[in-house]
Amino acid sequence: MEKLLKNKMVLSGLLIVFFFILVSVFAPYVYRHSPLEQNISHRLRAPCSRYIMGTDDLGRDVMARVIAGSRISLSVGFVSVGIALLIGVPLGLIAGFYGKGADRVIMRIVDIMLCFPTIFLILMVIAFLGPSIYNVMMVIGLTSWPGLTRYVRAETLSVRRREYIQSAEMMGIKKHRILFVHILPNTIAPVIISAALGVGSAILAESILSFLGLGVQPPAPSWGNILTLGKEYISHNTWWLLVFPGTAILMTVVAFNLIGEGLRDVLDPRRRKEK
Amino acid sequence: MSEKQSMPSGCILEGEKLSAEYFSAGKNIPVLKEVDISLKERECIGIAGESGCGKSTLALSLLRLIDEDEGRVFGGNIFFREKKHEEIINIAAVDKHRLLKVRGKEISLVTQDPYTSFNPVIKLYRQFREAYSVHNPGFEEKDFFLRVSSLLESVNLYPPEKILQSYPHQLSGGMLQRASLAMALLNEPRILIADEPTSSLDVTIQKKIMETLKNLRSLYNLSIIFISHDLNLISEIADRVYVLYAGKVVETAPSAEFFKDPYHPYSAVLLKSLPKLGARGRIASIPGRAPQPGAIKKGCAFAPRCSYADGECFRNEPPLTRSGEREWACLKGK
Amino acid sequence: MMIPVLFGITVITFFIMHLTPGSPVDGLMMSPDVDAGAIIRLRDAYGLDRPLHIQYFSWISRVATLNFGSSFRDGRKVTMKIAERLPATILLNVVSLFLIFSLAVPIGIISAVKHNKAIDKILAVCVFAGYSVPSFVVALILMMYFGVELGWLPVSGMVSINYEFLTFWGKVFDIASHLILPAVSTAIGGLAFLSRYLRSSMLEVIKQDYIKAARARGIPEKSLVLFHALRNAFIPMITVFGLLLPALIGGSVVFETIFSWPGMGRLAYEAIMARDYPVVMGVGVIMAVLTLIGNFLADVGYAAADPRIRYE
Ligand SMILES: Nc1ncnc2c1ncn2[C@@H]1O[C@H](COP(=O)(O)OP(=O)(O)OP(=O)(O)O)[C@@H](O)[C@H]1O
Ligand SMILES: [Mg+2]
Repeated sequence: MEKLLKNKMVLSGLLIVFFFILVSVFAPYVYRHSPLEQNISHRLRAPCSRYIMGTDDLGRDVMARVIAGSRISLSVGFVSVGIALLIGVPLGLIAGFYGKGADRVIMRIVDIMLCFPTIFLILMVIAFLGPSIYNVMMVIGLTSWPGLTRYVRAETLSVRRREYIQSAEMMGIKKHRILFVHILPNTIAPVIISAALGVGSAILAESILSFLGLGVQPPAPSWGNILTLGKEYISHNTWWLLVFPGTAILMTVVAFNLIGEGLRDVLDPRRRKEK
Repeated sequence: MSEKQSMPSGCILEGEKLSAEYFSAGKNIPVLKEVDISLKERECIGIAGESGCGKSTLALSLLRLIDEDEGRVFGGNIFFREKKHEEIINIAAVDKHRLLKVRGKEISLVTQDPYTSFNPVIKLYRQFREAYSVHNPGFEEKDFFLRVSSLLESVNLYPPEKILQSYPHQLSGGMLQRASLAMALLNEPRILIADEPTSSLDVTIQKKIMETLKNLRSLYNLSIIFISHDLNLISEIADRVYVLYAGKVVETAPSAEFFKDPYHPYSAVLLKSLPKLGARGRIASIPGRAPQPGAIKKGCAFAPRCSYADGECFRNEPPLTRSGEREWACLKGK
Repeated sequence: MMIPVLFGITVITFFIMHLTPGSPVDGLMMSPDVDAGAIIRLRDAYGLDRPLHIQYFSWISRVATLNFGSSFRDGRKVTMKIAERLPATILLNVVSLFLIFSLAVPIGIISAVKHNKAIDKILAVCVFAGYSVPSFVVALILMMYFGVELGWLPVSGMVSINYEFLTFWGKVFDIASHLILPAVSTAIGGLAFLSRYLRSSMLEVIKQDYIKAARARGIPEKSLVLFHALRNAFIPMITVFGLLLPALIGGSVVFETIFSWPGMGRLAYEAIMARDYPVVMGVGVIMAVLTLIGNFLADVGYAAADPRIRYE
């Protein structure tokens, strides 16, 4: 744990995430503007002292919306990774531990999923399920587990080959005991790493979906929604509608990537290359 | 940098106080400690020692082949008498450009593992041609081919055309080791450093490679540094022997005398544990284990395993004693 | 490998679409200018009231002959619609692949050669930023700056209005200027991914014993890197190409929509939004086939590039 905090990448990533969490929890109580409050006479204002990040087409304060958007982004990120973990980890364990038919079927499914342009799949599902924050979480989670399954399976296989596991098996210790006591703990490192990286990509995916109008629906203040307006008014040079939500996405994704990569440096000295 | 105008006559290469260390996990691990080594024209010296004592490191150091971020060689000089002008250069200090003209042209290296001495995805022909072209700018294709074919024949690889059109993985270990001997001699070097050229091959092939090596030696007037943990092989080919222990030279002697009467207790143990000639070369049983490099800070590195050692041996580092052509570092030995 | 993957993809696509509430006919019913008779005819024509698996098999057997049916919206053949959109998508992706490779290779080489030196660290930061950055936002910002603010580049479509009247070179130039922004935006993610991959495999290769052996022959550092190491590092890159492809093709849905690029990605987006089943499924199948072809080519390329596989 200490080693983790000493790693500069992990530390700075955690600080950024912590900052965003703080902001998303407390800022709404502190900040004077509400994300939904409209003021048509002040529409499309460039940043000024009153509206630090400017206003949108309905005169809503962009900063308040960016702040409120962090709540949506973070919750989508965490929940969808949670779903991916619930699917991906057990499947990886099963494939790696029981092998044979189960392995073949699971890995074939993983191959299919990895072959398919994910964004297309997500769009399709959302389009037919109807856009809402819950569907977004579900769908991102449901489409992002295959990478995780691969890692877990690989780790399970390598742990299984170790001598002490083999001798434990020989001694007739129950299979599920071996699975939970010896193998599961060993898969934690790669799981945490890909979970951290996964939160970043889930946040990115949510913003793309919202941007395309298939994610969180307006007037809810998602970063992607602000960007949609930015695109709509692009000929008005409304740069603040792009730059601020864009920076917010960049920072959160950077933060989670820093955490993931830093963890990889610390936890996995072999630095297995991602495939 | 110290300059040197003359070397003992007949001497072609002289390493002086060579120290080397590797960087590993943020620490510097010393591997060689002030090693002195000299090689005369047409001489073959053998370097013996257990696994991990620094033999390969020494071979690499002589050509400055230890990567910058992997480790470093420091403190010493490597004097080499150049072919053309009889000029003496210090390999440890020359610029990169000059160094490239020494590597492969004046001094060649045959590495321990034949499977990793060639690039796996490039045909041998291109690898040979490249090595030839860097030292013979503007060469004629015909000359190159003649040179390679005669070399391949002298290491018993037939037919040259077929060998050259192969990828490394299509040849056996023995064939690859022959090919890398041929590669080493491509540019008529005067010195060949052979780092355990046979240790990864099985015994019958090992014998053939040794025969080839002896042939090449007389055919091309080579000076050889022959590195091996197998004293049998060393006794077959070497004129003089260096015994390396934990990165230090503990004994130097002409072969004849050394194999009759080793002075250092470690040499004696090494000799005693020799397997019968022809048996698989592995040093049998020496009590205890060779120390990790850098583990022993005080006294004689061999003391913990030495049956003659007493308190003095653990306290003081034995100096090198010299008598005639022999040198040894032991407080108790002769 | 190809067949089951294709099968799986069509099944997923088909069932997702049909299990979800809201049939395309509902959509049509909303619009006032469609009469009830038309709806019934439509329902019969597509067999929308038959059981799902029967619908799937009748559909898949038509797909096998490249017959995806006709669009619900305008009644045109799906194959036709895709065929007219495909070239634009291929053009865009080929150009971005070209950008990716022509930049990733030097970046990878430089950062491997100057390992841990200042320039490597700077490049590493850029690469890290490159794949953390939301590239669709970059696309929007580029669009605003170069297209709107400076007015240098067109921001939407593939050709200008006066395209018909241009000379041949005028046409080429016109398309090229429309291509710049979408291609650059599409390339960002892949570029970061590939340069990073190449850097780490170069670093891995350069430490190998055979490089040291070549160095011992007096071969200069430059050819060690550019000839020996690059050859070896390139081989795994070919497989990476296979991984890159789904991302690129998926990305074209986003970037083609942003830049109104008349390609398959935009067609997919429009069809999805309109619940145009036949088109969505057709595009899905074609995307999957393209990805599979890419993967197949990567495998073939891998075998051709690595002599150790070729001779086994
Ligand atoms: N690149 C490296 N980084 C760190 N330590 C190294 C490196 N190469 C070698 N060493 C260490 O240096 C010591 C000497 O290694 P060296 O290869 O010179 O031994 P050797 O005498 O050639 O042994 P062998 O008979 O096994 O070839 C060993 O303890 C080894 O672990
Ligand atoms: Mg060695």
